[in-house]
Order: sequence, then C-alpha cells, then structure tokens
Amino acid sequence: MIYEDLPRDAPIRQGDIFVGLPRVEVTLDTIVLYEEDGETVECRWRDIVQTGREVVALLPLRPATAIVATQDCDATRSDDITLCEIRAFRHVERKAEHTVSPKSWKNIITQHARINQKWFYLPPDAGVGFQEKMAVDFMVTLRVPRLDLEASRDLRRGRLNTAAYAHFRERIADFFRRFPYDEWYPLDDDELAAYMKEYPETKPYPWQLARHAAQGPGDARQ
Amino acid sequence: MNPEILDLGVSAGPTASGASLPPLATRANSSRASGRRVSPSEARRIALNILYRAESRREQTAREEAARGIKWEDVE
Repeated sequence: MIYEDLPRDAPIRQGDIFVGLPRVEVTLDTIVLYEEDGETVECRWRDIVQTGREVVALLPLRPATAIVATQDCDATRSDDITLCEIRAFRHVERKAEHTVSPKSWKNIITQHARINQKWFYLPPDAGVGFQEKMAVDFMVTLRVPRLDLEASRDLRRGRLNTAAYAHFRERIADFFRRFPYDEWYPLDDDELAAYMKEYPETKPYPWQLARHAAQGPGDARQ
Repeated sequence: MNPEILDLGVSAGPTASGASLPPLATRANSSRASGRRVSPSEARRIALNILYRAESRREQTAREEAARGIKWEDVE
C-alpha cells in the first residue's frame, strides 16, 4: 500500500513506523512513590512539587505503535524523538465504528479526512503489521530518547512512501497550526438557530445578541 | 544527581488568574511528600487503574466527538 521497506540501518526519519514503544500514563491526581525507606506512598503531584525533590514512582506503561513526528533534522541530532500513537481507526474516529460499505469508507477517507485534522488515515498492510484500518492520533504523543530508538530499529516496521509522507508532513503541521475559534461567530439568525438546535450549549456573540434584540422574540437564543 | 538540574527556575506566586500556587521549592530538600502509605500490591493496582481510567476517558471523549458534526454514513 502506502508504505515502503527500508534497510535496518537507515536513519530515523519523520514518517517511520515503530511498534512496541512504551507509552507512559501520568496523572497529576495520583502518583505512587517508592520512598528511600522502601515504603510505597500514594500522593498527588502537587505534594511532590512542594518538596522540590526528585522522586521514584510507579507508573503504568503499555506497548504502543507510533509514527515519528519529529522532523528529519531534529531526528538526526536531538536527544529526544517525538512520536504520535497509531491505533485502530475505529477507536480513534468513533464515527467509523460501524462503517462497513466501501462508499461510506470512501467518504470518511477522502472528505472527512479533509475536515478532521486530528488524525491521519493509514490503510491495512501485512508488511507493517496493520491488520485493519489504522489512524495516527495527533493528540497522543510519546517521547523516546533518540539513541534508544536508534538502538531499537528492529522495532521499525516501515516508512510512509513519498506520496503518503508528503501528505503526513503537511497534516501534522496543520494539526499544530490549528486556530481555535468559535465556528458560529459569523452565522446569521436563522443559521445560528439551526446551529443551536444541534449544539444547545452555544453562546451567541454580542453582535448576534444585538441582532436578536432588534428583531424581537423568536430568535436563536431561545 | 546534580541538584542544579532540579532548580525549577521559578518562584511561587499568584498565577495570571490570581489563584495562589503552592510554594515551589527551587532546591531539593529532604522532606517527604505527604501521602497515604500503601502496600506494594495496592500500589500496583493504583497504577493499573490510572492506565484503565485514562483509556476509558479517551474512549468517552472519542464517542462525544463522534456525536458532533457530519454523519458520514448519510453523505451521498
């Protein structure tokens, strides 16, 4: 499909796919410490910060499949490599949980992919070990020391081919360039009413409220 | 470990919103973090629960996100 094999000693590049990397889960709410006296203590992160000391803690990990997000120059020299997790598409994009027909998949893979910038579609491929449709989840990142990753190149399953890589490179840039805005700000009264029917928690902007006030009752705020 | 590494380089003070922060130590000191003593088996259970809770939260968020916007099954 859209992947290519590469020699084991090939340098690590953006778009390389690794399996079995450790994903650490940390919460600020609960951390279990191993104290010097051998005791295990449950506390919160703010309790640790207040002591200002380094600690040893028990953190849960699980193996993850991931794609290199770090750009090529940094992947050659920097201490750390950042990767984005790859998971089953139906888990990343729950809209596709029950999708079966090729026509629906076509809509999701082409049109939806243009709209939803939080994931990047990866088709199944036996060569890289993807048994089903997969997705890069840009929201979930892992950090691995570069030297460790270079020493673990046997965990690399492949690389995006030229066409897929060019697309991936732009998509990951787009993801971090996204501008958070309230999409309803330019809607007129009727459009806003339709929007609020779907998203009742919407708070109209002052210019939208002023328009309603001028037009009287029956407006979108109701 | 070089204690300089632990120098946070920040001082305690009000946040931009005016909320007060806990005092931040800028050098390691010998005090222990306050907390509840747990057995090794409970420690393991707590750590695993952190993992399961995080996965469950992500799944819930993904479902909420999926409920918004275009229903792609309906697109011609």
